[in-house]
Amino acid sequence: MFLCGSHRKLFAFLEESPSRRDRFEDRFACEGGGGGGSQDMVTMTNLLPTYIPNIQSWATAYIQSAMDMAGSPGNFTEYTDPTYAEQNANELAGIAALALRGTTGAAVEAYGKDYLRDLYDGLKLNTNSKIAAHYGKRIEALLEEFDDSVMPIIQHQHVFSFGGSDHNIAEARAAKLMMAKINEIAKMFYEDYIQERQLMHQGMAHATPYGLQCIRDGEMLRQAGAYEREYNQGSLQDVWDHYNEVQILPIRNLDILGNAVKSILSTSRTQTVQYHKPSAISQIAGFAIAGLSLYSMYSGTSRNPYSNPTAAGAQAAVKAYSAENMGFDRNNPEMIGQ
Amino acid sequence: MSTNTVVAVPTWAQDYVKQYGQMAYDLWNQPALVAYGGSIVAAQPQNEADGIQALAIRGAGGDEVISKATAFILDVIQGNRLAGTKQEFIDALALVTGNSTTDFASVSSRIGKKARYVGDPDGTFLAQALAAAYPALFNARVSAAIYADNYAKERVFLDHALAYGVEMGKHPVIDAETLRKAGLANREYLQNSYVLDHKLFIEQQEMSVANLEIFGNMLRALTGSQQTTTSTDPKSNKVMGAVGGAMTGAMIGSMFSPIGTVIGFVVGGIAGWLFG
Repeated sequence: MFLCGSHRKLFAFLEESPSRRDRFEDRFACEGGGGGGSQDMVTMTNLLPTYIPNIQSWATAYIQSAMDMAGSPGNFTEYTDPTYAEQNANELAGIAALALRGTTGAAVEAYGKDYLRDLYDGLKLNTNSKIAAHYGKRIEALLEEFDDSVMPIIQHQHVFSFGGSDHNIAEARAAKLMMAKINEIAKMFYEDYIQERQLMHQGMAHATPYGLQCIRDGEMLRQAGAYEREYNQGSLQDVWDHYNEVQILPIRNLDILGNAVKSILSTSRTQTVQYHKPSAISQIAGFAIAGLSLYSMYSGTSRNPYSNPTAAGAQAAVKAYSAENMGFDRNNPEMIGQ
Repeated sequence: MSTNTVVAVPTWAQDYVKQYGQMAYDLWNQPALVAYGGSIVAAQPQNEADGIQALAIRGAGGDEVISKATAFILDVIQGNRLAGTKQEFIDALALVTGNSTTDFASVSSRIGKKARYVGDPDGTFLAQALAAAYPALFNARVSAAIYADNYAKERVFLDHALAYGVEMGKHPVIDAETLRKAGLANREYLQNSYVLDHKLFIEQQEMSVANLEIFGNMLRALTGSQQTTTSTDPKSNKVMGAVGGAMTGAMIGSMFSPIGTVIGFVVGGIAGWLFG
């Protein structure tokens, strides 16, 4: 019965405009009322599209499914498998190596820095331990030449004036040449100095790369720590997220049912209208009046005010209606029986 | 009173809706949502702290290689090495002249020692006397040459040193930036902890609301599922009731007797006043 009535309304509902739809609602409400009276009027409207076969049973199955999914343990359950991967050996070893490098630096860099510090301080100048020996050997060779070649030649040239002034002057001149050569050889100490000065200057190119190494070391160490902390932070965040996910599970499950309920709402409309009832005393009074009226009509207890006039007005009326012309006075039509 | 009720939930679904409401109420009062109480900020590892401290020390104190190189290149650019007054240059020059002087003596000792012929008026070592002034002369010559050469070469060094001037001049900036980064690293850690603490704080407050909203969502879902309109009936007027009652009573009473009219009038009026 209900569905048949709903079908009629639905099709009408679908074919009519919204303004007409309201009127249909009213019409069906009146029809459903069953003719008024003191009974409450109940109007049931099904808004499910019944042109789809089995829609009603589907809707029931739908909310039942939602109920099942919302109930314990619910559709959404806690994920128990790992969600945060362990750090593997390579990653840990890499971080440890990074930390070690950042802590201790590199030996080759440390030695390089030591060298550069000495270089810039000029500690490498005049420290060629081999140059003195080299100088000594060259002087030795020079003196050998002096002894073996220069002096014999002078002596030979002055064999007839041996020991004379010319001989001495010649030796003195030879010594002069030797000393000039000694000076030239001794300049190797200065040349070594200049060489070191050159290297000192070239060493400037290495100052910045080496000087920045400690920054890189510090950064490496910090980065190693940051990797460790980021992993730990990620782990904490994962636990936190998991906790929140578990917390929200009952709510998500409940929302399944909530959404289903929201979908089901308004698929039906039942309207009950309670009509106003008169009060009991009013009804009793009405019945009493009706009953007494009927009683007086048939029992003859109704009193004729003209049968025994007592009051002045009644007597005048009796007189008037008993007189000629029924008390009508042509000269004074407004007055009767005066 | 008149009541008009509209129910939007189909009867076949009402049991589900009731269960939904009960479940929402139970979850709200459980309460279902409790804020996370575990650790949320990872501690700063020692390596990170040490690294930051190393950066801070480096930034604040600089590096010795850089400072020495900077001092050296500054000295060169200022031309302090042109005059040859630096001790290392003087030492190098002393090696030249000192070794020369030593070996000048070796040469001197080799001349004029031969025996003189009879009649030679000069009995001294004439050759050595003649060569006696040579060491100082040659050392002076070689010194002058070395000073000049040193000046020329130091000029070249000075010129080349300009290429490093700008680079070394940047190092205070690098130091400052390193120090700033060290501070930044600590601040970022602190900031991150603040952000997480704040997030948890908000989450804790939101949890209470979320608990409440479990029921609120249920209410919103069901709002409009039933509409009950209650309206009061129009109240009758006491005087009108009395008048109506009096008239009715009088009419009834008049059926019996004149006095019945009066009695009916009074009784009906009172009854109309009281029950109208």
